[in-house]
Amino acid sequence: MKDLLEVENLTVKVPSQGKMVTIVDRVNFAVAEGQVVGIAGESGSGKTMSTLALLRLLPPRAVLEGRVVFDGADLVAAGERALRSVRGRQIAMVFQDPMASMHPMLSIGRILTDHLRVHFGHNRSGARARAIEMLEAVRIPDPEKSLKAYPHQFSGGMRQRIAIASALICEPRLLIADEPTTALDVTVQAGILRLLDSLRRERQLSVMLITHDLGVMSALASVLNVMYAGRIVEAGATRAVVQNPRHPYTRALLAALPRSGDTRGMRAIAGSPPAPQEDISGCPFHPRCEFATRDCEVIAPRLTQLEERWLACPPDPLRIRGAA
Amino acid sequence: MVGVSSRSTPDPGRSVSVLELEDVQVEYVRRGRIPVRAVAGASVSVTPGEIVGLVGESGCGKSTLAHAAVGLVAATGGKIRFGGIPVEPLTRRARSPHLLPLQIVFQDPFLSLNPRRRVGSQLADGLTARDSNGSNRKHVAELLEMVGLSNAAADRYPHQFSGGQRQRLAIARALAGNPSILVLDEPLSALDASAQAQIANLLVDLSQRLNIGMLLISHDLAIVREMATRISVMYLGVIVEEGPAEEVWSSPQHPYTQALIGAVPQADGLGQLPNALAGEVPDPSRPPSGCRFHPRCPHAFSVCFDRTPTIRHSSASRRVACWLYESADAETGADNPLRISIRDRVRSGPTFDGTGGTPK
Repeated sequence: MKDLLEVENLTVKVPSQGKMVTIVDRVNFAVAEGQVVGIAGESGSGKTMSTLALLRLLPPRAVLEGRVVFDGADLVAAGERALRSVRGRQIAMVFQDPMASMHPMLSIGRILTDHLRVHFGHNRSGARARAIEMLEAVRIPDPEKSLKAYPHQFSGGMRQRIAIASALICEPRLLIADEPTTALDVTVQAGILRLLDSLRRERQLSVMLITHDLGVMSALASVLNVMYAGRIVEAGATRAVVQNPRHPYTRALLAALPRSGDTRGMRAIAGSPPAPQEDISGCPFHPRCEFATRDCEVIAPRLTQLEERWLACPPDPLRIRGAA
Repeated sequence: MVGVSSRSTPDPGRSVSVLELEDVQVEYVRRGRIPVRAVAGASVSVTPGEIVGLVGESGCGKSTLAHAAVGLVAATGGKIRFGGIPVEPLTRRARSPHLLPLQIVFQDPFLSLNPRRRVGSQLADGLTARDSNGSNRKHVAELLEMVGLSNAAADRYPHQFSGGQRQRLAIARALAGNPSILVLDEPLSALDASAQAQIANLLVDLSQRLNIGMLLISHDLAIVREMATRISVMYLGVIVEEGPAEEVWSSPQHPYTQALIGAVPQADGLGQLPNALAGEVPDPSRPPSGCRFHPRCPHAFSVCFDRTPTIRHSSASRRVACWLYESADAETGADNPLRISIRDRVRSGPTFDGTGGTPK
C-alpha cells in the first residue's frame, strides 16, 4: 500500500490574548490508499484542527508549520490556486452536523452538482445524471425527486448520507470525516459506517476518521492515533491500541466507556483537559494521570516507537524511556 | 430542617412520591396538517431511589413523554400522577407547590442556563421556591458541593464552565427543589466520553445517596444499561419492551430492542461493523398499520401488518409488545378474544395468510 498522505511535524499556532498558542504540536501520521486512519481524543484535543490544517482551512493569522505531502505535493507550500484544485476534488470533507454544513436554501441537486461543474465543467444534464448515481450509491430513496428537495426535508441520517454523496461526487481520493455519526442514532450510525466501509473496499477510498467514540473507531479504522492537548500520545494498529492500551490517557478513555463485557465501565477521568492557553510543564496529561511520577511534571515525553506502537509516556510498563 | 444537608438521610415524608404515567398520549395539532401523536399510549412508573431508563431513536417521542411527565406539555390522554396527585400542565399561573419535588434536567446545558445571570443566583431561585428564607449563600454552596463544584462557582457565569461542569450546574439547579423524582432528558448526549462518565457516576450517586427516583431519557442503550435498574424501550410513540436493565441488555426480546443493541459499535478493536437497521423511522403523523415496527422488522409476519400488539408480561419481571411472544403465555390470555383468534390463526398452519383463519 502506497501512502497517499504523509503528515510530518504538523504544527498549528493561533493568536490568543496577544500571544501565539500552539494547538497542534508536531503531529505525524500517514494514510495509505484504501485505508481508514483514526484520530481520537476529547473535545479540544486538537483533532479537528489538525485535519483542517491539511487543507489550510485555518482561522485568519494562524501559523502552519511542517509538511503535508499529498500524492507527492506539499500542501503547506502549495499556492492558493493549486490548493483549490485539491480541496473538494482530491480531498473532501464530511462534518458532524449536516444541517450546519449544507446551505439551507439550496436544493439537494444544487448542493450536489455545484462542485462537479466547478471542478469538471460538467454541463447541467451530465451533472444531474452523476448526482442521481451518487444518491443511489448512498441509498437515498427516489433520487430524482430528492434532487428537488431541500436539506430540512430529510432526517439527520439521510442528510448525512447526502453530505457523504456530495463529498464523494468528485471521486476524491481522501475523505476527511469529522465526527460523521456523532449526531446520529446508533441504528443510523451503523448504516453510515457500513457505507463508508464499502466505499473504502470498492473504490479504494482513503478515510481520515475523527471521532471521540472508540466504538466507531474500532469498527472502521485500521490505525488509531490518540491525541491529547494537541499532541499524539499513542498510535498503532487499532486492534492493538484498543485491546492493549499503553498510554494512561488511552486507558482512561477506554475505561470511561460503558462496559461491553462484564468489567465495570464509565470510570471517569478526573479533571478536565487543559485549555490551549494553559502552559503545563512536563507531560500535559500529568495532572490527571494516576501513574504520574515526579519526572512527568518536568520532562515532556517524546513520541517514541516501541515495536509496532508509538507512545509518549516514559513510565510505560516496559520502562523504555523516550525523553532525554 | 430546611438546609440541603438535612437530606443526607431520606425524608420519610417524601418517599411516597411515585411518578406514574399511565397510557399517556400526547398529540401535537398542526393547522392544516395531520396531527402527530408523538406519544401514543405509554406507561412508566418511577419510585424514589430507582433509575428508570427510557431509550429510543430520535423522533420516537421520548422527550415529549419526559416533558409531559413534568407538565411542560399537556397530555391529550391517559393519567400522569405524582405522589398520587395528577400533574397539571404548566399554565401562566405558578406551578403547583406539590410538584416542586418533581424536577427536570435538559439535554443542552448551554441552552438551559441563563447566560446573563450568575450561577449562584440561578440556583437560589429553586431554593426560594422551596422556602422563601432558603436562598442564602450557604445553601447555594451546599448545592454546588453536591454536584462536585467549588463554592467559587457561584459568582461566575455559565459560559465560564465546560460542558460537563455546566451539566453539573443544571443538576444542582434541579436539586434545589429537593426533588424526590428527577426527569433527565438526554443529560449526557452533549458531552464527551469522559465527561459522560463523570456525570453518569454523579447521577447514580445522587440517586442512591438522596433516594431520588430518576427517569433517564437517552438514545444510548449502553449508557442506560450502565446506570438504570429498569429499561423501557420506545418506538414511534409506544413502549415496546420493558424490564430489568441487565436482562433487557443481555436477552432483548423485541426485535427493535435487538436491533438497537446490535447497532452499538463495540470498542473491542475487532473491526466488526455494527448491524444496520433497514429503513427510516416512519412519519409519526402516518404510523404504519398494525405493529408500528413491522416495516423494519426482520421477523414480521402477517398478523403484524394489521393488528397492534399490546404490551404484556413475557415473564414475571418483563413485558414486551410483540406478536412473536403472544403464544408463550396463552394460558393467561384466555379472556382475550383477539389473542384466541391469533392463536387459532397461527395454528391454521403454513397456509395462513393473515386474512383468513377466523371470521372478523
